[in-house]
Amino acid sequence: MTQIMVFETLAEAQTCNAAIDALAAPYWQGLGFTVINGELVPKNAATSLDDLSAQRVTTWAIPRETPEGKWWITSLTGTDFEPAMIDLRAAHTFTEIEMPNWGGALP
Amino acid sequence: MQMRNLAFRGLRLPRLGAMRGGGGAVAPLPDIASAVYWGDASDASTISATSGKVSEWRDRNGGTNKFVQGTAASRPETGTQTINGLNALQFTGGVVSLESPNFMSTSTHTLMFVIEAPDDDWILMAPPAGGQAILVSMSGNTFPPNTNIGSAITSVGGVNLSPDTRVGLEAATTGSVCIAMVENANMSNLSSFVLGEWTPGAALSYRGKLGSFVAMIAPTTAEKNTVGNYLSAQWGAAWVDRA
Repeated sequence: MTQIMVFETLAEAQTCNAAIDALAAPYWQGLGFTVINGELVPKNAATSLDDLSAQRVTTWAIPRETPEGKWWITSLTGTDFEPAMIDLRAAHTFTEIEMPNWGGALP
Repeated sequence: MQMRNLAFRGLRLPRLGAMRGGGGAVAPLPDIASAVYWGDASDASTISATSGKVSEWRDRNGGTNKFVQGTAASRPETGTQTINGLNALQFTGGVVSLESPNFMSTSTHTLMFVIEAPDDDWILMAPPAGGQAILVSMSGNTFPPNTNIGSAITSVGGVNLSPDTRVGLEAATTGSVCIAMVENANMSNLSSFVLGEWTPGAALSYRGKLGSFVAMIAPTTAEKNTVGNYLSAQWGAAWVDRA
């Protein structure tokens, strides 16, 4: 299941997400991917060449509000970036939980 | 030698991309005038990705419509799952989704999906306030297969659901590759189409494979059957011609 990081405020979530974005760019570059203005350029799956006109990855996550009024982003746990969780826990205040089934009001 | 013979007879060969990744497509891609998007996960040339995560899924017919995801944590997977030996996109629930702004919003569409979602059903729905139409999985509830998209008709493998309920859907789709079709889906007043996510909770996001997604505007019955039979041969899913 997906792990998420829950923050008390939107600003805290945004700050942590920005920290993740800052470490992601050099990580991707280290893997041989092209990063332009902090945005990850995808490769064509058939040719393995950069798709410069394709949708780029612009951020790790977009903070979302919980039903309780807190804010969350997807955790790095279980991803290639998981080792960075140690630094994130030291520098940011959040709770890491399994994504709840918030459901949603269906029509 | 066989290839030369085919070419000699003037037959169209399938696009190279469609042949990558294993079994499946052997027939030429049909020319469907009503198709406004044809997503084919087995055609690697239509996918842009990094480390197996999809940022863009383009129209196999070369049109400008496409599905995109610019948020790293929300990208579906490619290269990890197959249907009938062909690459399929894998949606893992949560916030994973692909979105196409604008192109679905103008008309009534017929939508065809090649899906394998072992543990869940799927539905296509739009929130009451408009905004998006969304493919999601459903489990543990009684909502109908399609909600808030007008007088849509749901079929699996060309056969209308009976009963046209989640129970009927579950009986028709659980644990098998299927061609799901939604006819007369009213996309008016919608700003985008999302494959995968309704809400981030586990119950309302799509968890499963997606091989193809074809969107058509006012297709003829012949066109629906042409697409259905093509997808059936490609992905190994059942199809019965619509009358």
